[in-house]
Amino acid sequence: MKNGSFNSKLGIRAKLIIYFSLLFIFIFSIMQVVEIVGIPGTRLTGSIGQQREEAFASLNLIADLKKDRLEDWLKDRFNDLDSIFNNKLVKTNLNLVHSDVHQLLDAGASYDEIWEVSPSRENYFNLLDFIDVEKPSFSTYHKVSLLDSSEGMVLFSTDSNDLGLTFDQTPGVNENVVVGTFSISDVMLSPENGQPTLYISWMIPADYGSEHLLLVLEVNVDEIFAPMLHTGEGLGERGEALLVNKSVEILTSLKHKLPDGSDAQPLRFKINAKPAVLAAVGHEGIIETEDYRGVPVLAAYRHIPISTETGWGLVVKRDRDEVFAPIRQNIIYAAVIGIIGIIAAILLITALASRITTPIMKLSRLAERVSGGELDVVTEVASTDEVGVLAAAFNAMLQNIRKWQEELEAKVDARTIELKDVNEELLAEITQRKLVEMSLKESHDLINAVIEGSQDAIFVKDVESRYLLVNKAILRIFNIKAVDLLGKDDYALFSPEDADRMRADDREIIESGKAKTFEETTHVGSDKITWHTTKVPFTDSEGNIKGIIGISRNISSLKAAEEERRQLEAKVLHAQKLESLGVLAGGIAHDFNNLLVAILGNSDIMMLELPKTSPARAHLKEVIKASHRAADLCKQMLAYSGKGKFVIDRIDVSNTVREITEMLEVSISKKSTLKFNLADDLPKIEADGTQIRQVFMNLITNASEASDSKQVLITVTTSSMYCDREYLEGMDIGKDLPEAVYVFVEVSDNGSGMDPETQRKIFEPFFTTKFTGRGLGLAAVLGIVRGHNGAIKIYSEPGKGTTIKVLFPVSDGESVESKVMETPVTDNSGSWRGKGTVLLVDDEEIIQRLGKSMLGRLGFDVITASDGVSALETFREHSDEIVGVILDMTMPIMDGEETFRELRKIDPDVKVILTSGYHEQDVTSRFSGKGLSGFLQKPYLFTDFKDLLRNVLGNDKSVS
Amino acid sequence: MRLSGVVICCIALLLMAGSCSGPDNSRDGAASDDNTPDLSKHPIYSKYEFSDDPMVIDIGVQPLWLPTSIISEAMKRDKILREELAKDGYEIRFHSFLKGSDVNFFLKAGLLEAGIGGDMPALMAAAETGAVITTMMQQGFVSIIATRHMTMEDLKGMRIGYPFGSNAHYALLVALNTAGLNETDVSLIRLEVNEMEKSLADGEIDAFSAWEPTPSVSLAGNDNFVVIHKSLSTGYLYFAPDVVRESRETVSQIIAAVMRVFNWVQYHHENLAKGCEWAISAAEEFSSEEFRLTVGQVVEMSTHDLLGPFKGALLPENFPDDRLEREFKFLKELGKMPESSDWEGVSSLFDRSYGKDVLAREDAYRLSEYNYEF
Repeated sequence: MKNGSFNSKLGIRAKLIIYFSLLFIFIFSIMQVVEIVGIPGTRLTGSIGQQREEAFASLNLIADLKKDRLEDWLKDRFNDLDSIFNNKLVKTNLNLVHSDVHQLLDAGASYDEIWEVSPSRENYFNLLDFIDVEKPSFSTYHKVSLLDSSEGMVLFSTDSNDLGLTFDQTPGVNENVVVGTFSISDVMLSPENGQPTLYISWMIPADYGSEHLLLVLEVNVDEIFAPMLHTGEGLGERGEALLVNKSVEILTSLKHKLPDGSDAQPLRFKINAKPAVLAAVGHEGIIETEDYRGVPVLAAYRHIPISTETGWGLVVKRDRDEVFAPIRQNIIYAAVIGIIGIIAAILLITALASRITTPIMKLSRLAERVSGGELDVVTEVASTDEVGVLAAAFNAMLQNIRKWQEELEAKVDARTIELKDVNEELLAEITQRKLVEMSLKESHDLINAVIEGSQDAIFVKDVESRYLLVNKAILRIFNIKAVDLLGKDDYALFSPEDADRMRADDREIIESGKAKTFEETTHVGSDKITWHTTKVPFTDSEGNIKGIIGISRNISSLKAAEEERRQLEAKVLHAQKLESLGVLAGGIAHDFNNLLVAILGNSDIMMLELPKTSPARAHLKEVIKASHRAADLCKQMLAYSGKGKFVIDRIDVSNTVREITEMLEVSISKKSTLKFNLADDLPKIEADGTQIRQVFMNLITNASEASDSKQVLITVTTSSMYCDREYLEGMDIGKDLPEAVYVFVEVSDNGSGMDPETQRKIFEPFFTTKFTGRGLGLAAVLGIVRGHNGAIKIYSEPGKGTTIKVLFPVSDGESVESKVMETPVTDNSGSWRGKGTVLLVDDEEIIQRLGKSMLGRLGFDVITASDGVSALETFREHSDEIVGVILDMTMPIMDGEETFRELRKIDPDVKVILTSGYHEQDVTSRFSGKGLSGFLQKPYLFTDFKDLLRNVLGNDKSVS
Repeated sequence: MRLSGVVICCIALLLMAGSCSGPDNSRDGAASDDNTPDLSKHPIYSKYEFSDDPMVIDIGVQPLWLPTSIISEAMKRDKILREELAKDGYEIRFHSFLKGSDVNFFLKAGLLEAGIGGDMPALMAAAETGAVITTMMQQGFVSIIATRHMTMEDLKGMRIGYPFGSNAHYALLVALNTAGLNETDVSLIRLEVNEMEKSLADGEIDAFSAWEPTPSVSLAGNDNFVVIHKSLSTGYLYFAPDVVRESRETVSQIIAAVMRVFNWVQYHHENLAKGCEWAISAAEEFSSEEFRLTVGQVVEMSTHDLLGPFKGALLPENFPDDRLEREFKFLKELGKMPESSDWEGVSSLFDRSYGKDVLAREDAYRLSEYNYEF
């Protein structure tokens, strides 16, 4: 250590000399400091304090003396005034001068004449004589004047030039002086000579008239006060006394020049030094500060009131340097004596130290020889003091050292052999440990490579969920440095809610000691990340759980893809559901139609057979009416399934709406009001007018029932628009339509609206929210719009209303011919009857029976077949007698289409009437150009059946 | 022990020695207590009988304030004053107080109709009670006395005695302020003026602030006492607003009595000496102590403060001046004036018109007639 080495180099003698020298210097310094500055907080002020106090006492004394002198001088002036007015000669002559002037004025003399005459008059001379005689007393005054208070003029003056001047021209004269009292003006510059002048005045009553006389004495301040201030002892060479007025302007010249080298002029130089300012405003005291030169001074300041209104400030000061000059001299003397004393003390200490340290040095040198290996030396014991005892002890110590050395050498030899063996074992152990370390390092590198190479987040936490290890993937994902994360917990990475949950997971794993795999979602800013996380507890060698190892994989994109697939599946399922419902509705409609054929057909026949007066006719009419309504339902179902009747034409949608306006207004609820915004000149669409009207009817009827309680406003809007891909993607039905111009119909209501669940289901058949509804209206709309390659969009909010927008593709402009087979004009007159055999093919026995009955009533023979195969066999057997075939479209084994083709093969001229519950367009489009003779839409009435047969077979051999 | 240890021990011993002999600041704390005490149970004042009769004017005077007490003592003996007041059915009674704030306490309580006090009490009376200040009584100095020559800066940390709410209180605060000190830089100790000298002589305080004659008496009795600071100070006669409102003539007669005293003491030197004797007797009676200034010393003091450049009685023109304005604002800043008071309001209560009216009718007010009880 540094201090240790320093101490070891210094001998006792040197230390003694240094320590005692420093002690002497310290004590001497303290004594000097106390002597000079005293002890703070005590009455021991030191020589500086004493000198300062003495200087202040001296300045106080001088200031008081000068103040007394100035005040006495002022008193003398009042005494002068008093003596003047108490002098009968003066008083008489003053009054005579006064009365002379007034008598002359009364006699009409001009002022110039008066002033020429007046000084030569006796009383004037008497006054001047008096002043001349009393000159020693009046030498103080620069001028003595007498003024007439009523005229305001100077009547008498020791300076005849002043005669005739007025108050305005005589500065410092206070015409408001109270009679019988004196007044002192403040010092001001005389207009006559520019000197600072003091004006003292006294007002007395005059003998002549009722006026007053004002006696004014003028004093040159600098002449009078400067000697008073600058004379006297105790201020040293540079000390000074100065006088200021209330505005702190100097009244007399200064002893020193100003810092800029100029001389300060009375009443033209204002002092800012603190003592002058304090004295001017009424304070007295002592202060240590800087004077007007910026020189540090000790000052005493006094206030001299000269009237109730004003006063002067007196400052007596000495330069600080000058005050303390004797102290500095004393300090130098004391320092020289002190240094001599210290040197003497050091010499004395050096001699004393040598006597103490010489025997010790001898021992020291001997010890050096011993340390050099000379153990056989012996020192001489020359005294019995502490050093002699030390020498004897030294000799004994040497003897013991020799003995210990021999024992030590023997022990060292034995230990050396032991150490050699231990060294060899240690070397082997070190080699083994290095191998283990290398192996460990390789393992560590491998694990590190796995961890750092992983794209998954891998981390290790302690039992307090603080990160002990994180891989690069975490740092990259969270854009954070390892140093900022290690030692911190999940609150450094995640929101408090996420971190709370993670902390709970960690606690669960640590407490259970079991691994856990789970999915979790975290929030990083506005992004959500879904993790597939596995956390495993890890333990120390004793099985204590020390923390958690975790691997988290970001499966956000996987989850997103899964969600997308799920939504797609839902859409497909929905589409399949609608498709299945369509098939189901179609199938039901087909079967119902067959049943309705039987009901309607038989009812129709019964109506024909019953007498017109039969009461059963009314009931039968109800059956027929109900059957028609059932047939309408079948149509709706067929429309939904896309198998309704189509008659394609070019349609103006606005006109179509107008056509049904009247019907709408009577059929919708009374609580509904219709409003139309129909565009003119809309592009035409290719559509079945009946179905389009059904669409509008269904939408508007639906809207009118949108609210049970309140008035509903229904707005129907038609227009056209270009629909881009994005717009079409937003449609509920018809997302796949191409970008193009579409005509649209929009039906809006302000009814109760729909929730999302209802919106999703409204196109499903049989779904209804109404007590009386059948749930086929909007299903039919869907089927019709689909059938016309259109699209549907629903906007609805519960409580606000619903808007359903339907798009139809614009026609390409080519004329569209009705694609339905033209129906020949029929002649309904008379009772037509056929002849020949008709093959009736239908898998429904009930239809077969009805057909046989109807055909029989029309005069035909009937052969029936219940499927296509048996029909072909029958036709081959009776082809020469069969005049026509009535063929059902849907049959088992061989359907109507195939049977038709086979029949045509057998007889290309065979007349075949096809019947089906499906719509005509659908059926006839498949048989277009193939020689189909007619189509009979199930269910049908007897009259329809008869009309068609007559049209197909009427001009033929079958007609009778 | 190492040398450094020796040095540290020596310094510590020296500092301990220094601190043991330093001023003891623990007794009174650093800041003063500005709460006005309840004087109704004061050992002296509790014996006073103030009149409820509206025709009796109770006036508070200060026998321990020279040379002002010369005027009040002469007024007590002024037969002309009594005669003139009796013409209107009025009577005047004088009550002695230790200081101006005590006068104000009873003025505020409605027990006094008029009072005599210095700058600070007069301003406080105007600010607190709306008292009208009509007459200037004297122009002298308030002094700070210590046992050695020192500057105001040297007072830092020292114990200073002061009479609360008086001219001397204000003068002390201003003097401290001129040295950049405030009340917290020193230990302010409330004392009455008659306790000051003994406290300083016994070393209980390091300095005190007081008006005449306390400084002169103390200096005369203690060779080691010195004046370290003086501040110009004035004394006033002021009246409760009710009296001014209800009886202008009575107020004028009292002012005339003050002016009459001024004329009387100036009329002949013996008159002044007589007035000084009366003032000394009053001080001795009030303090129950022998007055240690001679009549000659009091005459000299009076010549300066009453009859020097000071004109007496009449408020000067353009008064109150900027000195009083500074004083008011300084006291307001220190929180010693009512929060609601302002200089415009207070300055408007200095009314010179009474004095001027009396002077204009000096014969009617018998200013040159003298009839005092000897």
